[in-house]
This record gives sequence, structure tokens and C-alpha cells, in this order.
Amino acid sequence: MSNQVLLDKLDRTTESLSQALAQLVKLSSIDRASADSDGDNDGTTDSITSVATNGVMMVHAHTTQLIRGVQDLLVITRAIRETWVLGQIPKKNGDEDAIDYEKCERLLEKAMDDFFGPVAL
Amino acid sequence: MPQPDSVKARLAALDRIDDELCAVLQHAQATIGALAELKRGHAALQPQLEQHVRDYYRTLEHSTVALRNEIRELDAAVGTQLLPVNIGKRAVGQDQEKLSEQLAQMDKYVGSM
Repeated sequence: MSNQVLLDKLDRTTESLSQALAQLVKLSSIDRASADSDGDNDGTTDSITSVATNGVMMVHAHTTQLIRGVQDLLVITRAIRETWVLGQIPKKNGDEDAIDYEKCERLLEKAMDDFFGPVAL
Repeated sequence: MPQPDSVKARLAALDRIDDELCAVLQHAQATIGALAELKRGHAALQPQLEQHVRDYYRTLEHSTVALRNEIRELDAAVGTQLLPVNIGKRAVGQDQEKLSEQLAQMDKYVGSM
């Protein structure tokens, strides 16, 4: 995942998280105060049941949005962590890890000689 | 696998961000809890609600700013410490130990002859 994608995702998630709590608080009073809301819904003409149901659904939606947002941010930290751990440029191994191929070759030749006798080339 | 110190520092910073993100949820929960109590008539909880809301936004800001910095750090490290492409790294080098063991045995039985 490229970094610009991560930054965009972070921006979007932060924005939705910063609105989610405000929306929840706003919706908490919709059933009793739909009349004095700022008129951005049609609650004034609907029955109180419908307003309350809508309110509950909206509360659910925003709660899910809040939790999802935090989850998304956790996914971002996980992706960064993964990149740090798995994306490192491999270092040249020290002497202890390097395999002495010439020595292996000699050993193998010797083993073959021991098992099958010297092979005349 | 031991990580270099610079990577360790980044991982620790990411752990702190994770903690803060969880704290964001906790503050949100506390806010809603205080709000519910307030609606039931506990008017004394108003300052507490305000404090929780403040904590929520403060933690959210803190964690997202830290996360943004981490993405910047990641960006800066690509090319110097990190590979610019994604590679599906499999269990590379896991067989090294077995290989050295076998080579040592071979050395013992064949090399000494």
C-alpha cells in the first residue's frame, strides 16, 4: 500500500471519527426534541415512532462508523508495522552466516571419492 | 528475529498509537455513558461529560497526528532502510540452521579423513 493511500485513508477516517461522536450526541435527543431541530429532517411531520426508529437506526449507523473508523486506523498501524518488519533491505550476512561453498565442494568431492573410489577425469 | 534499534523505536511508537486509538473508543464510551446519565437527570455530570468529550478529541488528535508522522517516517525510510516495492517475503533463511548442522557433520565425518 503506498503512503499516499495511507494518508488519504487516515484523513478520511479522522474526519468521520471527529463527526461520529458529535452526531451521536446530536441524535440522542432527536426523539424528544425533533420539533426544535434545525429542520434538516422531516421529523416534524412524521409520527414520534418513526422519528424514534430513524433515530435509533442513525445511532446504530454512527456507532458502527465510530468503531469501524478506529478499526481502520488500527489496520493502518498494522500495515506500517508489517512494512517495517518485512520490508527491510536485507543486509549482507556476516561471516558466521555465509556458507563456504568452496569448502562444501571439496567436502563433497572427498565424500564421493570415499564412497565410489577416485574417479579418473 | 532481532530488529535494529531504529525499527524497534518505530514499532514502539506504533504500539503507543494503538493504545491511544483504543483509548479513543474508551473515551467515546465514557462520553455516551455520561450523556445517558445526564439524560436521566443527573445534571451534576455535565462537567464530566465535557471532560470526556475533550479527552475524546484530544486523544483522537494526538493519535492521528502521531500516525501521520509515522507514515512520514515510513516514507522517508523507503529507499534507505526499506525496499520501495512490496515483496512477498517467505520464510527465508529458516533452513540455515539445519544446513550448517549438516555441513558440520559432513566436515566431521569426511573432512577429517
